[in-house]
Amino acid sequence: MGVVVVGASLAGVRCVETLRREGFAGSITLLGEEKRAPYDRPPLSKDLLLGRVEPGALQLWDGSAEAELRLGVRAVGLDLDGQRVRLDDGSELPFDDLVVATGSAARTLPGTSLGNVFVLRTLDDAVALRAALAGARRVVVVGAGFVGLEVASSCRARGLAVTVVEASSEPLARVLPESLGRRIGALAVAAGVELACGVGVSAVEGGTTVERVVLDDGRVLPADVVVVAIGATPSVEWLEGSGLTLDDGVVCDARCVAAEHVVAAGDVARWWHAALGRSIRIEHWTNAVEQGRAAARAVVHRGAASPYLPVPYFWSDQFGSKIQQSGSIASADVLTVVEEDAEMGRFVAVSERDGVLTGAFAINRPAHAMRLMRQMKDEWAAPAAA
Amino acid sequence: MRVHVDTELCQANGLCIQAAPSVFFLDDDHEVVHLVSEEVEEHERERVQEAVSLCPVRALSVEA
Repeated sequence: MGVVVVGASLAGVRCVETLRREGFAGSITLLGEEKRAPYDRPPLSKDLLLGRVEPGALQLWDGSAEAELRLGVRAVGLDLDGQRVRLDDGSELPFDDLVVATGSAARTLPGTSLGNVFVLRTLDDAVALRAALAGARRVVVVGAGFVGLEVASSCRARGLAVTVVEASSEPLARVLPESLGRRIGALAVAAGVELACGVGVSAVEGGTTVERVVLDDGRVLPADVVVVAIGATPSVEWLEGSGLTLDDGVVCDARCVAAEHVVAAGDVARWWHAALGRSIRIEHWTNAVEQGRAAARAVVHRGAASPYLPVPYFWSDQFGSKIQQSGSIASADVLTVVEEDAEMGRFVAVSERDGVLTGAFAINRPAHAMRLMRQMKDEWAAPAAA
Repeated sequence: MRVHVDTELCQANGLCIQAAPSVFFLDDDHEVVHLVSEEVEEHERERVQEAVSLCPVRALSVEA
């Protein structure tokens, strides 16, 4: 018995470490679907593609927290009442408490089984993409989200011709207001990326390996390598019919609790953010760390654990610029540019609602970005504590 | 307690400043994080440990 953590990536690993730090003395089993030991993902689209780091340098698991790490095993079902996880080898694993940290999986384009068409989610994906880039000249990236743009940035740094195709009218439309997405698109264009926004992909064609991408408007883009970076979906298939509430993720309360004896953390978890007053799901590195820790505290301290109230944060390094956003910029918020230095490539904007700071976006201004994030941490915590 | 910032690795993501604002700082003239003081007080240990786990480039370490 003890705690079973399903998902051996960042949220799961940090959860295990925090369980031990918080004094949990029972047994812990950490299940990973991949055969690889837990690793860190941010370098996959950057330093790993550039050959600056090798897979061995990305290890997340140092073994200092006592737990049984079982790799290459997938959870296929959950018996909530019986407190058991069903595994793909046919066995069952009982638990006192379950941590759901199965993350998310890259979306794919239908009908693209050609060679040299990649997604970038796992270390194996990144190693295979890097090998293909070594023999490539022209790359087409489908999707101008953070992963797509970071891949495009790495390809440009390798001297490859890159076209990024995005169905929305601006890059990053899912996560940023249009004016900010446009600004990041300008960084890509200045670095020599061909950016095609507002157009879809109608076909990916070739023989055994990919040769071209055909767009909705009839354009044909020759390509040796295609990277599909059109987002991710939470990995909840194994929980269907289990009794847990699934709605674009595992639905949790303010303490990351999905059901009695079940907590969730990371990309897969949709929880009630009490300061924002709505349920959110976050697919960023920092949230995986912080929510993994919060989920562990909910297991150890139960109802005495604090609600999980982070100021969401993400960063992206691309085209020689550092992009940082904290808080949550909603479309109804008022966006104001507070600093701009075109020559230095510096930019800071803030969003506000009813005079309260809700978000901060910065390019190449980490100190300013951190002051604004600090301000949100203080202000958001105040009403929750009252 | 001695805390070490590897300035070769640091990319000024700044999460350590959120976790332990009285230990780490980042000012407008620097591109890497600095320590407020070489010697860090023992009562900061929990916050420093949070900072270590939040550093995406693993630039922080605690030396006993």
